[in-house]
Amino acid sequence: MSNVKEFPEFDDAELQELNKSVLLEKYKDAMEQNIALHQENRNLQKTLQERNREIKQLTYNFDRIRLDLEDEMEKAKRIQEGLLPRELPRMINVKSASVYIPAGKVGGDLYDIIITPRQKIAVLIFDVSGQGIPAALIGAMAKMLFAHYIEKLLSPAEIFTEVNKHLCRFIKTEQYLTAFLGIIDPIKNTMEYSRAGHVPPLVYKSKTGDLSRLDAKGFFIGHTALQDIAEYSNQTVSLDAGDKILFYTDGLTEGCSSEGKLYGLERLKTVFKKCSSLELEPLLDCIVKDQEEFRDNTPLRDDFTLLGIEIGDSDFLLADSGFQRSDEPNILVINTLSEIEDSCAVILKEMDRCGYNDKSIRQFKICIFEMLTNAILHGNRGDPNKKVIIFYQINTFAAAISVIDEGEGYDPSSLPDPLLPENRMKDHGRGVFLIKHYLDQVEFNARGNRILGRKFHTGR
Amino acid sequence: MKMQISSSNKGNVRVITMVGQFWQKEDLKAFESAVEDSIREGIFNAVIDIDHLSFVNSMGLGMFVNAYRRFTDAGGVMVLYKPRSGVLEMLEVSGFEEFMPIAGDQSELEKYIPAH
Repeated sequence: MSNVKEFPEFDDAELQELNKSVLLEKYKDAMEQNIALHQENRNLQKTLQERNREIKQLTYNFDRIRLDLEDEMEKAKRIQEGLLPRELPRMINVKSASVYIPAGKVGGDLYDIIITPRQKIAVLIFDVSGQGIPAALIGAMAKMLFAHYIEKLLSPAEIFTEVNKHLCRFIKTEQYLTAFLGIIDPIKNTMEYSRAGHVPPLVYKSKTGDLSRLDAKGFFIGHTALQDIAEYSNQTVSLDAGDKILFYTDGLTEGCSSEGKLYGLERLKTVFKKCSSLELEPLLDCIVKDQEEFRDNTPLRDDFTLLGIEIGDSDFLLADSGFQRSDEPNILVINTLSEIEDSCAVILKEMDRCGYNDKSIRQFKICIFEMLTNAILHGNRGDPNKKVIIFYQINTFAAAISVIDEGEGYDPSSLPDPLLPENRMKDHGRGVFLIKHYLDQVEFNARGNRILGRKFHTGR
Repeated sequence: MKMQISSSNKGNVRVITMVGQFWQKEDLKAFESAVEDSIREGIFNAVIDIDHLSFVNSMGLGMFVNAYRRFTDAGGVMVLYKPRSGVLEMLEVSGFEEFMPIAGDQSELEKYIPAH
């Protein structure tokens, strides 16, 4: 049996008809496929358009979030930099200079110099762990707390204890801060200090050329895990005229070279010692440049701060005041008339505490106003850049005040007597007269730019 | 307390009242303006009411001297009225009682300005 399939035979007409129907069928299939493809294509296009829209929306949202974040970071950076003092206060017997080097992001370094109500000089430096907005927020909170407790005249260790207590309540993250606080007595030339895990400042002794570190034990501040065991201790260092103290944050010593080496303490010590004869500002510049050279364009990993302090000659200052070192006088510094009332209030409060009667306090008040007004308006000729230094000592024996201005001085014996008939109608010349009348002792220095007066205690 | 200076008239007398503590230059200007206003308005008799002046310095004493000269030169009179003990003590120490009328109460004031 043959397996050859035999095809039916068609004539031309039949073939034509058959071809037509086959072609028609094929055409129909093709059309259907085409329609289906077209539909699918339209669906795909629609989906693609939807995806594109979604991508555009996502990109827009992402850009907006990124811009918002950048804006927030910039604001946080400005807040953090705004917390750094724009200008360090003018101090008697102590000079200062500072440098803050940012590392691009929001850093955690902060520092401040605060003159206490007793004219001691509180030097504070601290570094919040981490960076960014949380570090800036914690820094702002800590700075306000430190300032609050420094004003309350607590010791450095007591201030750390109080700030730690409060920050542990507020900080809910793992962040903490390291800090160093020194309170300088510009007359005794001593600094009481406490350290809370911060890098110990370096002290350069001008007499011997020695360099030492101000070490002390103390925990971090604000770390909730250490809340109950955190302890801080007070240490005191004696300082001499010309001694320099370098406070800094670890971003300085942790600066890396291109080979990954750390700048380190030893190199810092070497450059500090080498440049120690310079004034504070060029000295700090010298350290910053040395670190830059060491890094050789390697970016900083962390911001850093340098704060330099130089101690002046308190013997010279005291000798000019008319007080002895053993008197341990208090000091106030003013530049303008608007500061007189506050200074006067501090002194009169002390008199009240020592049991002076109202009449003595009132008369002493007149003398303070006369002395300070004279010093600012006549001595310093109203120049707000010139200082008036007030030394005072109030005890149960006497109230004493010494006022020194930066003027050329005058001869007190040349002042006319306002009680003489020819002087009665003058509108000036009664200030020193009243001071001499109300105080028991009044003396001037040879230059005539310092007046010292005493009023003895006569009981309530 | 910030110094407050106000003026009023009682007949032909200008009453300049000072309240607070006097020691600032701004207060001096305010007081001098009050004196000049009175002179400009032709009122040459003045009572400086210092009953509520709690503190004055030597600049304030000089200011009283200048005001006194302005009123007396214009043909009038100026009286410091009711100084508190502390201010009175300063006026006495500075010899003001020798040349400037100071009245502790209304009857004393009327000795200097009867119509008041």
